[in-house]
Amino acid sequence: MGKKYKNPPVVEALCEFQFIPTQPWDITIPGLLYERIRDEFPLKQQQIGIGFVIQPRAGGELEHNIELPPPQMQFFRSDKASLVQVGMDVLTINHLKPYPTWETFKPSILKILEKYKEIANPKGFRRIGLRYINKIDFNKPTFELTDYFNYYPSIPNNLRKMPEGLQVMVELPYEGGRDRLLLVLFTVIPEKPDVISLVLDLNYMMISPESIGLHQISDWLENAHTIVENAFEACITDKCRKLFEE
Amino acid sequence: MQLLSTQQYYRKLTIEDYKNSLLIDKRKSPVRFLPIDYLRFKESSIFLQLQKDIKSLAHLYIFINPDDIKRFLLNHDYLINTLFEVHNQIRRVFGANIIEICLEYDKDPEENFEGLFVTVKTNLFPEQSLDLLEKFDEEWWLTLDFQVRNKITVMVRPV
Repeated sequence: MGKKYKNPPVVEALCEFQFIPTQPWDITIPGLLYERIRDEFPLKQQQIGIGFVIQPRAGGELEHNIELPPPQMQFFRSDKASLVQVGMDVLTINHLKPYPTWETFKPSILKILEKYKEIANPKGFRRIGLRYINKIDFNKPTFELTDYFNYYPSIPNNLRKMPEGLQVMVELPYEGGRDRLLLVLFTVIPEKPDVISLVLDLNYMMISPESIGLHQISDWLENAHTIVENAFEACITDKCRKLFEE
Repeated sequence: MQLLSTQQYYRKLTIEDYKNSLLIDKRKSPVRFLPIDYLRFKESSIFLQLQKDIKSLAHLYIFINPDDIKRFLLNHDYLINTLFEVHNQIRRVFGANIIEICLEYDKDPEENFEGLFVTVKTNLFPEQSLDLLEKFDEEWWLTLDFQVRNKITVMVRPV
């Protein structure tokens, strides 16, 4: 996040672009992109996807149809802390821990997007997402959710126990409904025993196709980052901030 | 929650696997079920995909000591794809003779060992089970890297 912490909770930041194409998907695009970014992202890996369509038929039965979307390529940096994913009209730039700073991450997003645009020549954005995934570990016996978060599930008094697992999600509209902030708090598998690991996942999205021009992306990203940053700070308490050794 | 057959887990199987799966009698099949959530949405996050993969495995195998298994897999994520394929290959070789497939974490500090045990419980006689295990080894298991085989052990248990 923008506020500087000694031990920031960000385990992954990512920016995903879904495009409206000008032409049918060209399977050489991932290879062409790799040629342009291989100095920085030399390690490649293919993700093969199988998609399923499930449709109800008369009589209540479900019909399963299988779809094979084109494979998605992942190009990793040598240290595997950063990667680029490219699939059919989708481009994602991920940065894992240690997250650098927004001042470093944003230019790398724009640089890769520019290369993709030169190769694929998309018509516009169908969807854009800027997402920060924060993981915070707590010791089970001493942990009280409300001490650390301003955003949490309301549990009735007669059920007042620390849940083993939880998931809370809200979608908040921005910019007249053009954008949306998806705010999710949930438990994940902890790395150590007697620890509860919570993820605060903040995903700011543009969901209205072509409402942001290709040339407006820098401003959109800046605004998205500010909103995500403010939302993060709003969701946590000072006690939580102390965990990050502010 | 709506459930779907695990033959559909999203990035491990071929079209042929899927077609074959449609021939299996689901009531007798060892195949477990996955929540629809795992199938419909592609996860762009590498961190969360790992979490989802581990949870998906919990729908394929019976986890004997789930917390230990999950923690171990978080730290040995290179084993995850292999475990999907192990399940697939076990189904191919043992077919309808499988009762259940279990996964267990074990640690032996004296032997400096830490790893996972896959146990295929079958409805066969011991000799028949061992024959199929040998087939499994020869046709696929022994082609894997030693690093992987050193961390996963596959056993059969007629019941």
